[in-house]
Amino acid sequence: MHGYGVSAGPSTVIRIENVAKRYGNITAVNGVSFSVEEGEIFGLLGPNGAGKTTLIRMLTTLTRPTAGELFVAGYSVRKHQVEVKKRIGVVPQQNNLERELTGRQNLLLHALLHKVDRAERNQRINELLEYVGLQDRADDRVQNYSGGMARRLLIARALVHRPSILFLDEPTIGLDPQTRRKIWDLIQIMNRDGVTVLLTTHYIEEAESLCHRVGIIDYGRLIALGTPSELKERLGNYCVEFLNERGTERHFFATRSEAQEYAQRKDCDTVVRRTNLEDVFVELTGREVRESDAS
Amino acid sequence: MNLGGNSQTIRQFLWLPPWYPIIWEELVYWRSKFWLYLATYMLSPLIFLLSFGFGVGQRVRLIMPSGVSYLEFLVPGVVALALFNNGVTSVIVRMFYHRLHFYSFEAYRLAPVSTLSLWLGYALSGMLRGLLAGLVVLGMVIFLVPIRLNWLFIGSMALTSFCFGSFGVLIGLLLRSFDDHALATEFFLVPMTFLSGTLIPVERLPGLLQPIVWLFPLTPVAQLLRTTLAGTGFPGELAAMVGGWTLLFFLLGWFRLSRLDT
Ligand SMILES: Nc1ncnc2c1ncn2[C@@H]1O[C@H](COP(=O)(O)OP(=O)(O)OP(=O)(O)O)[C@@H](O)[C@H]1O
Ligand SMILES: [Mg+2]
Repeated sequence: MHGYGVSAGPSTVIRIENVAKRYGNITAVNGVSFSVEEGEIFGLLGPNGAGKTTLIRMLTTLTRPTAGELFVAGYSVRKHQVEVKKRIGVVPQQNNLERELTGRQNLLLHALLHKVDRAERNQRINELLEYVGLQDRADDRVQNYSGGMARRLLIARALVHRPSILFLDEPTIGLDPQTRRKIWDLIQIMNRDGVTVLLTTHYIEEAESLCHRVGIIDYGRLIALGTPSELKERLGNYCVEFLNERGTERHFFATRSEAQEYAQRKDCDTVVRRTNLEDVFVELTGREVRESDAS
Repeated sequence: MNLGGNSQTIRQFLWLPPWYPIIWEELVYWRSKFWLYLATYMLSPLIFLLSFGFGVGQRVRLIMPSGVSYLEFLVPGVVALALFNNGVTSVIVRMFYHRLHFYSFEAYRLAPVSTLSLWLGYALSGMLRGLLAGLVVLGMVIFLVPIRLNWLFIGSMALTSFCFGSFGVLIGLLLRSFDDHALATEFFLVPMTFLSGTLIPVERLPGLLQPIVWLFPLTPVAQLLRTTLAGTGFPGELAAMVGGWTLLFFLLGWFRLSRLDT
């Protein structure tokens, strides 16, 4: 295989080694290392400004790392950009469609750029338009689309050339619940067909229901990594929640009986429930809402 | 439907050059705005011809360096301006909006094509736009002024528009904001328009300016088009100057493009 270190298995398709990115004196990503195996759906969680987008932009060749190495599909992102680009599909956080073109023209442009064969092109485009429910608006200009429609077109575009690795930066942001579920289905169907997925999200239930493994990043650092159940187990699978003068307090326990025992000793109303990924996220990244970006 | 990547690989075609999609997009815009483009391309040359050629030129007998009439002098200058304004501006505007406003330039950067192809695609679309504008001017002028087209002149037009296309790519890549755009227009594009021997002979400019305007790429272009249109031989030196500018714009633009970050 190209570019793999000796320690990585042959099924590693994304590998990040000590990657850092600085913009002037802002450190957006600060020494991150992890890898994603073939066939995984990997989720990156983190507060605003944590460095998720920066990491995805580095993986997809758009931004150069200040330090470290990235490998995608076995190729060094620094050395073999074109080989990497052939194999990846990218849904950016920010709409980068060509607004003066129609939806269909946007997909066609993408197909041309990826040299998709003429015989397959139109059929593929029609299938994807239908799948994301845009066949009726396909010949409208993108500037007349709603935010959710543009988002769906972005996802369709990322699939035109049948990438084997898909990067989705907040794929379901601003979508209605129906569309969001449809996108989740889409991601899972693609994954079943063999596509490796790396996504970022602020929706914890998205990560919990979709992702095989989750990495939590904060202030440019990876602070936790594991399957959702591993992460919850590390915190304690059961949570006792109660309200006091400082706000809602949560305590975590390995077993339900320990949690119940603790809850009974409290003389206020308590809730005993299973720990969820949101608890993990909040415990690890702190409770305060981020007012400014990480710096 | 199969959405995946591994179970079925996409068939590829190999016979189109990698810069073709960029031109394709440009031509989609042409198709939807053809009449607008045509009207735009006719307007400013017409104003130059009427105000300078038939207005000022008729009343104030400008003393022409080589004894040609002012109108004969003016026509290649107006063609040069058409190539310049439309070639450079169309690329600048397209790159500017696509890079800084709509981010759609990113989609091109994510495509598996080399930096060279990307550069070439934008430069060629500027070239096509310049050529279209130049041909529109010639189409109008042919009814007003006796000119004889020849292949050397057509070839010079092609070289020139490619040069300006690559100039447009360079400026388009250097701009960081709307202010930069205004700055570039006021400090480079407008002075070049009037001082490069397009409307007024370089020899009639104030003596101090004369050597300076030879630092503008438009100056050798106007001379090149003028000499080849007059049919008095091939000015190799001027063509080499235009070629040199093209090479410089290419190298700087390509460097900039491959260093693009953020
Ligand atoms: N081009 C840039 N120039 C300067 N600073 C930047 C640039 N891009 C990102 N940053 C900074 O890097 C940090 C990480 O930003 P990034 O966009 O990666 O965060 P994120 O995790 O994607 O956040 P969000 O959830 O809000 O999308 C932020 O502090 C941001 O201000
Ligand atoms: Mg982001």
